[in-house]
Amino acid sequence: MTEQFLFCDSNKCTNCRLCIYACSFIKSKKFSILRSRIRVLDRDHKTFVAITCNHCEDTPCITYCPSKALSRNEDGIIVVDEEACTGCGWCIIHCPLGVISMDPDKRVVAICDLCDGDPECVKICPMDAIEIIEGKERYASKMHEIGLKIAGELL
Amino acid sequence: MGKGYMNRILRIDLSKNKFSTEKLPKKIYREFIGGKGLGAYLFYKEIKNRIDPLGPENKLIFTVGPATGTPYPTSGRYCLFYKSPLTGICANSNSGGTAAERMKRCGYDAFIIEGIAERETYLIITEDGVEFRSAADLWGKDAFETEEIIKKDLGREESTVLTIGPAGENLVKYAMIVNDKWRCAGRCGPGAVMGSKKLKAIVFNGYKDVEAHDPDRFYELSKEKIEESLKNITLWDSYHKYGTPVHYDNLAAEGGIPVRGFSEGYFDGWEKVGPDAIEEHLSVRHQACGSCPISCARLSRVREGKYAGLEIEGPEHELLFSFGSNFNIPDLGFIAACNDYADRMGMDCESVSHAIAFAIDAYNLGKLDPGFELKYEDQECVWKLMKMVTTRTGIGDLLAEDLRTMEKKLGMEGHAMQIKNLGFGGYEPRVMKGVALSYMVNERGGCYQKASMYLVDLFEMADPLSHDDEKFDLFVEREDIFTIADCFMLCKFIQDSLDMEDCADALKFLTGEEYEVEELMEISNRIQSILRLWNVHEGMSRKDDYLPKRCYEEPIPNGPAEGAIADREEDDRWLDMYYEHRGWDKDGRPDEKNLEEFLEGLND
Repeated sequence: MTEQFLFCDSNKCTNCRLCIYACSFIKSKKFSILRSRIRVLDRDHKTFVAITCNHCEDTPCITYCPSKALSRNEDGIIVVDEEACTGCGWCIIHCPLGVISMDPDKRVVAICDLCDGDPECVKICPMDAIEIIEGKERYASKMHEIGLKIAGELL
Repeated sequence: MGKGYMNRILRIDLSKNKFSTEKLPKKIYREFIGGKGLGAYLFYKEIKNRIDPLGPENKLIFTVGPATGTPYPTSGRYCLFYKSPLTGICANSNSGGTAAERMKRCGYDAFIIEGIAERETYLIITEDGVEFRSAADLWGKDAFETEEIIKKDLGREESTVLTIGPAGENLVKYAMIVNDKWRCAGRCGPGAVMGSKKLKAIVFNGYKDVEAHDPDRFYELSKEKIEESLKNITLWDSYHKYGTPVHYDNLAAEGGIPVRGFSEGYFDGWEKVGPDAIEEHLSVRHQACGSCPISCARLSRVREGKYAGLEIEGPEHELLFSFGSNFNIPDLGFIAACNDYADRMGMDCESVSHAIAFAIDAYNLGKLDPGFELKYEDQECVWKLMKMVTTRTGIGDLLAEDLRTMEKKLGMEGHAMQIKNLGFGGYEPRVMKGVALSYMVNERGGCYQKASMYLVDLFEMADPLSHDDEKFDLFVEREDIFTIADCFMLCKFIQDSLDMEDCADALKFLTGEEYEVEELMEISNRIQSILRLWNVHEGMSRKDDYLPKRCYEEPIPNGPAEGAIADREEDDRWLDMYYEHRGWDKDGRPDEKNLEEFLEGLND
């Protein structure tokens, strides 16, 4: 399968945070910040963007996990072996995006699994700001577009 | 009580630097739900009548609702009760942004802040309790700077800062509490209450989960309601697209925009500041409060002129009135700049606009001489006065007071356009009869927020001037549904697409409590009644429910609604009907014995 990515358009994101609740509900039946695998960054109350795991090529979370609980599956998704995870949080510290969360009850980490290709955050987003991007090339071109837009605003 | 609630409240005593956690009897949640209802109950119980609003006995009572922190659309608002230093009666303000969720995730349904701190203080509230910190270095900073400094110091994500600006510190009677820069508990002066308590800011930083009684059905219902709002013409095609100024064109066509201190009936150049002009000249992108699919707010950037480069959220409808039509200045750049200044200083735009217009009128009548010329259509005059208000310099000291004090001091009784000492919002009551009724009976004074009757005046009945009984019926119907939705702390915008059954459904899945529609109506009635009763104890009665003298004596001189005037007989008729509907006597007094007995019974 082609690798998939979640992409959020910062020109559309309004900081309504519905994606956070949708994610935590689907994964835990609770409306929770801690249990959500997606977060929304707020720069100065002016620019917002939802971020989640983007399956880095070089995966520091996997590299630094002392229990070998994390691995990458054939779709590129980072999978957590809940039996092996000790909840030490080492992967959270090493994640460059800060998008690994910990379930406070089970004390194991949780990483976006794209909801089997049908992500709840995409479904709930009222602005259609979050979408699934197929393939690394498309992901790169999307990021390129965003870069240009931000540069345009800065000029 | 069960799910949907955090089941405790937090009490903070600033005089003693202490805090404690309390539980409320289950029946109180059942009968008052949360948000405005719970706030009204706590307000009635906690805040004594006849106290000094700027003294240690006044309290700030923050509440959130059972849906706060869930995806139920527009549930991201908090409610605040206190005795108003501006009006001397019951005040409730509310605000959106990110605040409500962070409050609730600290683990409380309500926060009661009492006493006066010995020196300048700010509070950090988390799941672990309250930290009292010195605000000595923050005192004097504006609301934006304060938030930035605190957030930088704290270095924590998922926190919201509620703060006052210099206006609150200087006890400007209509100072606001500001969060997320542009979101404010605006009217009635909560910022002055905070200032009097030497409380500069409150940080909320919580991570607790919110749970539902039947999570699957509650989540499905929330999603359905989100979908519905995206398909709803009023919500999506109007409020989403244009925000609060959406009806400005219609309002201009009907002559409903207040102009030049409510002395004229046509705002020449209104289209230069209307929704299309905002869209064309200012808007950058949409922004939302927590859990809101509508995202009516917009980030705006002034692109040309004196204020080029300035970024704000807005301007909202009230700003078009406050710094546009009320001074007869159709200039979006100026409106945006005043908006920015008022938010930074933390003062209510509508009230400062009323105060300045009053001063200009006084100057024109020869009743006030500050040593410089005061006039409408003059940006410099507005700037000068606004800055004097912030620091209470010169005549700014008088303008920072309430309208009645200004009237008395300058010998202009009956001139201010207010009810119960709260200046009207941006709708002309002589033209908009439905809005006028909501000004008359709102417990906090001249405010239209309890029923958004402009929609009825402009569209549903399509006749602002009509005094039809149908309009009255729509008012009470809307007041009830708005009140119950306020118990969830939903936005006024979604309330139009909700009915009582929707509220009952949401409560059932969220809290497990089942309500009949009748019961919700009773709850709404009780909330109106206890707030009214509190005001009656402050000396309010029927005499305080009329429009000011000018509305009955001075017809609108020009414009589409030329000749429009208030009619005392019609107002009397509607007041009689309203009191009867609410079960109050002819003087507007609720049955005190009955209410007291009911409240007693809740503690069993």
